[in-house]
Amino acid sequence: MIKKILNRTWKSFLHNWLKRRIPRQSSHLLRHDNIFIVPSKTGLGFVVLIILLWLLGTNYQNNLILSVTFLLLALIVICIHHTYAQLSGLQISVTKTHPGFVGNKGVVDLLIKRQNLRAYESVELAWPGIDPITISLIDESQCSVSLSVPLTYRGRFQPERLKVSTHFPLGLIVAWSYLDFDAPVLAYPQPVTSSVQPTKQLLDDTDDVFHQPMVAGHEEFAGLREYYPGDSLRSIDWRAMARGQGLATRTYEDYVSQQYWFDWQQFEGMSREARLSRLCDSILQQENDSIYGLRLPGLNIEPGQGEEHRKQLLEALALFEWEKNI
Amino acid sequence: MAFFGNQKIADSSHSKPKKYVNRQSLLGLLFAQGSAVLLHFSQAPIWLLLLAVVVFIWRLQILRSQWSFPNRFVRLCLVIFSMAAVVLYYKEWYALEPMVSLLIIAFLLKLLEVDQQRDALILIFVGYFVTASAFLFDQGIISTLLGIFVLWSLTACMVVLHGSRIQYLSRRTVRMVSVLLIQSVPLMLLMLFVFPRIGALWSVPIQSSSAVTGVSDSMSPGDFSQLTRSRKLAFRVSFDDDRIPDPSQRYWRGLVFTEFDGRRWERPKGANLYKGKEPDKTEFIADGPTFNYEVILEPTNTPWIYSIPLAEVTDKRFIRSAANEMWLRDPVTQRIKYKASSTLNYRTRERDERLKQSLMLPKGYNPRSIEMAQKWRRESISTENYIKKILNFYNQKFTYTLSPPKLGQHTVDEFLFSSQSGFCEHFSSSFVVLMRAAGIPARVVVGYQGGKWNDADNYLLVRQYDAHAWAEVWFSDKGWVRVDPTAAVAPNRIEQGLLDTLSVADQDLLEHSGLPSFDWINRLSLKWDSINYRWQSWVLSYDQDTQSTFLKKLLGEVTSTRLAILLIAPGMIMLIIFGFFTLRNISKPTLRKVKLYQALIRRLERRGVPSVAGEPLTDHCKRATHTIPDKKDLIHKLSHSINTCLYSSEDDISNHSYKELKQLIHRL
Repeated sequence: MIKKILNRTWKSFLHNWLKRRIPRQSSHLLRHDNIFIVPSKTGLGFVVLIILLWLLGTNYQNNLILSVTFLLLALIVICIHHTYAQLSGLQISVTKTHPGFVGNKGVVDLLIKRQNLRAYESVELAWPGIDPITISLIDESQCSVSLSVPLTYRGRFQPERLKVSTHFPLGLIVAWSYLDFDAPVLAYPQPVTSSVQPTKQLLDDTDDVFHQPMVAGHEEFAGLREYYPGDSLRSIDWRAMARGQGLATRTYEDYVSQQYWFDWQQFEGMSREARLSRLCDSILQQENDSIYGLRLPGLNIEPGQGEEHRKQLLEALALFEWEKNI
Repeated sequence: MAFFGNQKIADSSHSKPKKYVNRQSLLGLLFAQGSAVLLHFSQAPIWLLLLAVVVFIWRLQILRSQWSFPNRFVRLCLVIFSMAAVVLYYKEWYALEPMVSLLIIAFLLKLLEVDQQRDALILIFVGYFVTASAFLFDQGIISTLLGIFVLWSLTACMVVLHGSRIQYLSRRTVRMVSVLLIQSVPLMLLMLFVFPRIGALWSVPIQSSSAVTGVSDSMSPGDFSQLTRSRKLAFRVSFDDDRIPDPSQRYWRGLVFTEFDGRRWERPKGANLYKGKEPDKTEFIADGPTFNYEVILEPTNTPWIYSIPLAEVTDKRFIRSAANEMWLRDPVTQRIKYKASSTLNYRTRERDERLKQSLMLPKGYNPRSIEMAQKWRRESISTENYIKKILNFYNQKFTYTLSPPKLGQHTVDEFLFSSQSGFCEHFSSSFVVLMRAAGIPARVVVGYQGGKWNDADNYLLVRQYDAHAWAEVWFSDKGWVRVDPTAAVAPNRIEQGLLDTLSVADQDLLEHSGLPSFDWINRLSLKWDSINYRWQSWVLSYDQDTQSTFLKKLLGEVTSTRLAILLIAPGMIMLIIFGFFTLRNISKPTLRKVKLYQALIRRLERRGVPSVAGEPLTDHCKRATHTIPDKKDLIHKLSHSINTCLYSSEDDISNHSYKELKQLIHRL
């Protein structure tokens, strides 16, 4: 219990301190005021090794063993500077973010550039809970990485602080920085399948008949095609068969509007998130050429078609009253 | 996006990642480990080296995917067999040697398990320890250099293990590791000199087989002739000033034997200083010139040291025994260094009971010798006369040889009257018996005699074949006086050393150095020895005492505050210097194009064309061409090139063009 409280206090303290120390930016230059250096676990093991060596050297009054001891000790000190130099001078900036669905991952594109001609080896970048990705800048002066980030809430998802760290060259010292990037990732609602069908809207007024899309139906003759077993016997073009042209099937089409409306009201009685999830799934289910619109409280998006339209709808779902969600 | 160096996408979220050792690090590890084990070559038993070879081949085959990792049963068998080997090989457990062997075994067998980064790190740490422990057994130049190399390769292993694209034997690694180590050296030296030294904390002998090297604590016929076949180094001596005793005076006194059982000479029972009571001090009166010298004694596994009588050793580690021997508390298992000063003219006093001890002879042994001694004593007018008579006897009838015939029960009788050929032990033993039989207190002294003078570095090299035994005879007016019967038989042995004394047949008995004995080889080996000697005296010289003198010289008075300042100050200075450079670099990463620009402006100002605020570089240069018309072309060129630089990316400026432009600016 006490441990929990202490832990929470410590975390909030750390959080506030970091907030002041490394404010949110879209680009960070790693330098002395945002790089932290501590001995690593390996380094502590190394210190134990040094103590053992010192005991050996002291006990047998052996100057060479003592030299080795002190050399290794000096190596730790020197290593501090070298590890620091492995981070300092790196400019990390967000170039782009790619949206994703809650429960899945979004992607943040980062550009890592060096401000000097030093070689950077094994710099690890990681969001909390994600395997780090390792980059190096040896001959090239910049590189870009795409980091996936798990999305936990809908709306403009703000990733946690990115941990940039390195153990190079000796692993005795770890230099790290927690960078807060101003890189909101658009998080769509988590899709949930539902049995509710979208409202289909037929066009009654045929003002613009020729521009309406058609679906297979019974009203208008559309043409002939080859007979497939299972076609209705009534639709076989017997006259053509009598002419000796073989079996052919007559096809018909209806002037039916394919316009669907995804409506908030359809999911009566559900919570906001549940409705959004189902709407999201419905939109995802649509074929590329289908036409659909979206009705949300206070927002009407006219039916449209294509990938851009889908994105627009999803974005609307993502941003619908999202601040209330956090 | 052609300018992107490399594009990576991270998309994994499994639990804790296991980092596996890559091929590069593993090869490096094998290399470093091999050299670390090689460092123990002289000390480790041969089967351990065989194990190393087997393990290395196995691991290489795993690396080449030819063999697989050993399963648990095989590993267990390997551990059990190696443990058994250690148990069988080393009889004595309470020593460092078997422990180091165990460490090496663990070090080797762990290699068959390594596939993760953690294992590799443990292996490297153990590697550092194994390397350092090799210095317990040998601190020579060669093993030091090899040790540095092993440290280097282990550190390189660490670097490769933590890098992702760095190769083990690439130029970048070589440079990086060398820079790391070289930068560490000043700090290491500081700590080495200043870090407080404390004495030994516990005592675990280094060698488990405490095989005594050199003179042992008893003497029977055959011991010395065995010993003198060895060319091994016993000790080295350097003298202060240029005062060096004559070859005939270089008697390195070790032990004094007074007890004789008919065959074997020994120290009196209970005379071991620290097991019994305090040693009683006998008075020594020394006057005349003294020699100051420093001895570096090779490990002997015995607790006494050698010095020219009458020696004064200031070192508190040593205690003088009643018979004027110098003793240590523990056997000398590592090379040690001590200072002594000797006076050749001295007199000693002795207690009566000890004189009585020096007259005792075993009953029933050597009747003929005793009879002869008593007869000759009666015929001589004085002790001196008697001694002269015996030495004459040796001189006329005896031969000096490394391979004397074996002796039976009455060793002295047989030697004196039948074989009449022998070695220093035979002469000293028979001489003391003859003295005692005549009622003159006498005793056998063992140690070394002579030594080879190394001209290159002015020190004396005493080898095992310089081991010698002589006698001391009691005169009531002078005390104990050295008499060397061997000198009567083979004066060359004393004057020129053993090698010149031996017959050709005897010389073959000596251990071969492995090299034909040419003059230049001898000179080369002497030179090499003198380099080694300097190194050893340098490495050994810094101890607790030297440190305190050094610190006193440096600080005036050693207080904890001053010591702390001395320790912290250089570190602080280094931090400040380092910090200054890094901070300056970070706050203003001065681009090279900016440097060029500033250099040009500075140059122009010096040539009398001051810059005007807000003026572009081209305009500034244009004005400059009016002031310095003779450099018109150069200024035009610089103006154009640097302007181009200013508007291009920093990476586009090659090292070559940067240097060229700098030179051009200087020509302005």
